[in-house]
Amino acid sequence: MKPAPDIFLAFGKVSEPLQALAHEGTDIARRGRELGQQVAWIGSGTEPLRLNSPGWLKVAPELIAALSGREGLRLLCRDRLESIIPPFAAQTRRWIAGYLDRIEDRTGKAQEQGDALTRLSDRFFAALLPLPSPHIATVDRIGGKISIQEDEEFVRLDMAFWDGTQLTGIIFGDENESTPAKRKALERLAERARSRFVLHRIASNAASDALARTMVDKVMDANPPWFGPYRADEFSTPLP
Amino acid sequence: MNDQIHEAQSHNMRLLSNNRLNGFGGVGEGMAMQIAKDGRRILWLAHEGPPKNFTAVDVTNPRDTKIICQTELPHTRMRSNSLDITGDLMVVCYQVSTPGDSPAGIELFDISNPENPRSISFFDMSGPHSRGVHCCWFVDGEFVHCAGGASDFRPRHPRDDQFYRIIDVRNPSKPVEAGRWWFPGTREGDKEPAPARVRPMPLDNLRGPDAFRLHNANVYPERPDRAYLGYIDGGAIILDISDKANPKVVSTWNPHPPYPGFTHTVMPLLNRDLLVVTDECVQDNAEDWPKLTWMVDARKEDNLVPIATFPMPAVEEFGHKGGRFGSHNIHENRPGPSMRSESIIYGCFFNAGVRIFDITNPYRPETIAWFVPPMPEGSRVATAQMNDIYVDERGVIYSVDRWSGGLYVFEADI
Repeated sequence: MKPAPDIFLAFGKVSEPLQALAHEGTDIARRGRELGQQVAWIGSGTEPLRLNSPGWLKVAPELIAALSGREGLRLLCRDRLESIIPPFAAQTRRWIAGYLDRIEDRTGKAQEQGDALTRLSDRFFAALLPLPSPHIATVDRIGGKISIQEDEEFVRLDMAFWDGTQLTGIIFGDENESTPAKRKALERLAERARSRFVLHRIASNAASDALARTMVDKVMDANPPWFGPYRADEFSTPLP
Repeated sequence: MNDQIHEAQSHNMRLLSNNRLNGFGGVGEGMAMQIAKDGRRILWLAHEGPPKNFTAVDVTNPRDTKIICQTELPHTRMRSNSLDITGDLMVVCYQVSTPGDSPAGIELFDISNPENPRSISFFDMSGPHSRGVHCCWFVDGEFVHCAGGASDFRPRHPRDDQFYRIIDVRNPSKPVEAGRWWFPGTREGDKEPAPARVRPMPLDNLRGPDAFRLHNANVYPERPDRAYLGYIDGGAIILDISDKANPKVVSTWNPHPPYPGFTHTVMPLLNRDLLVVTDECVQDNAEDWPKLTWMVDARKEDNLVPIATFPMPAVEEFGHKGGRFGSHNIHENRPGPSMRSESIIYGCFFNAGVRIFDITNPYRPETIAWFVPPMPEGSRVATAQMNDIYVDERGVIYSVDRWSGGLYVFEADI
């Protein structure tokens, strides 16, 4: 059986996903990366995308150095995640804020005592990275060449998570909040992506809570050691 | 000289059927859907004017719709214009032409047997200065939110007679008022001064523009503490109705003047912190152009910022084809068997027909489909005048003509 195709996502403040693919998408693919500031590639072997996954968070080393320890890192992470949410994705914004609050409750507030290299509360940074407002398409990447089928389309969701095995796509609202064409597009995406993609419709507070619990639980699956959001290549240059 | 639209014009939309409603094809602004106990899908329509009150159409098969009930008004000095439904309970509005006449108010019906609606009660809103009720909203089975007059309300200007009234119908046989709000300065005795008129009009006809009265009041179950009001020349108003007996203003936004007035509908997109605000075109031949549909940034509820207007076809093309041309009603994402999209907006624009917009980018709404029907036989003007619209959860689109065309049913490739 043919392997499931790769999945490309353009997320955040993106209105032209093809442009995102043509620019940042091909750029990071060329560098062997899977996560950029507005794009992500999901293929076989792609590691879970977490808050501490390199690529989405571009911060100058000087800013990192100026932060007040782990609390500052945590706040920076939250601030940068908030900043990539499109301005009118209000429900996504509220959900992500609640999700991060739950992560903090689960992992404990940042503790500054002691000299340990990592602390329990660093597990915060191992939380799965929410990808807000993703445009998703399946793509073929063969021998370094990227191609989208002629009839392929980008399907826009409210949020997505990649846990290393499955892309969980989220739409807030009932099925009757999607037009017939959108419903068909979602069916086609699910068919193409096969077991690599699952869609959740969140139409109630109970469903929203259940999703948050599921995603928060996954932070406990992360293997130690847990690092803060400073593993990106950008920070490999020693600080002055 | 008016050009007549003889042929339909369309893009990405198809007409499935047209029902002329037994020759009484003038429909107002009341469109609501019932899923009957036997599974039939019934669309209830309030007529624009006499002699008919309301008509029930079985739209289970959208290609072959059937009238199952059609009722008469008690006399010709009144109109219903608006109705709404929750479950098997229907509210119908009655408005009279002359203040002081009757019946003026709302009537509640049990429509569990759609062929035989049974009157349950009547809430009187007549009065010496009242024309009764123009428009209602009833989606939670508990409260009717309506634009109505009252026996104890004397407006300073005769056109400002209909204000926001909340009627508790939890006991449908005994409706009672739960609260009310009116634009400050419009009632005799208010300490505030009367508002400055936007476009003063002669008083020989109380219908039409130049009014500080309520048109639509929308309240959604996701946000039951907020009422979103289209208050005609008073603009868009958000009220805190957490205490229904004492509504409080949260914010207002009013482009009139310099725009020509008549804010009609304020529909919140609660998951996106946006509002869609429509004006209503009320004069023929583009005399009150432009009547726009607005996209408003509501991220800060007390500081509403307009960010776009919806694209409209050229006034040079439609302004003088006959009848009205401009914004009016949109599909309002109501609860129940209804499409509820915050990225696709369905609207009707009189002689510019039914138009569908993609507002994924709210700074740049885009037209993605339209249908302009030909002039229906018996129309008062030379064009179809698409007056109201409803979209069910399957995506089937229902729209009505103001004068004679009746019910049009469409599907769209979107």
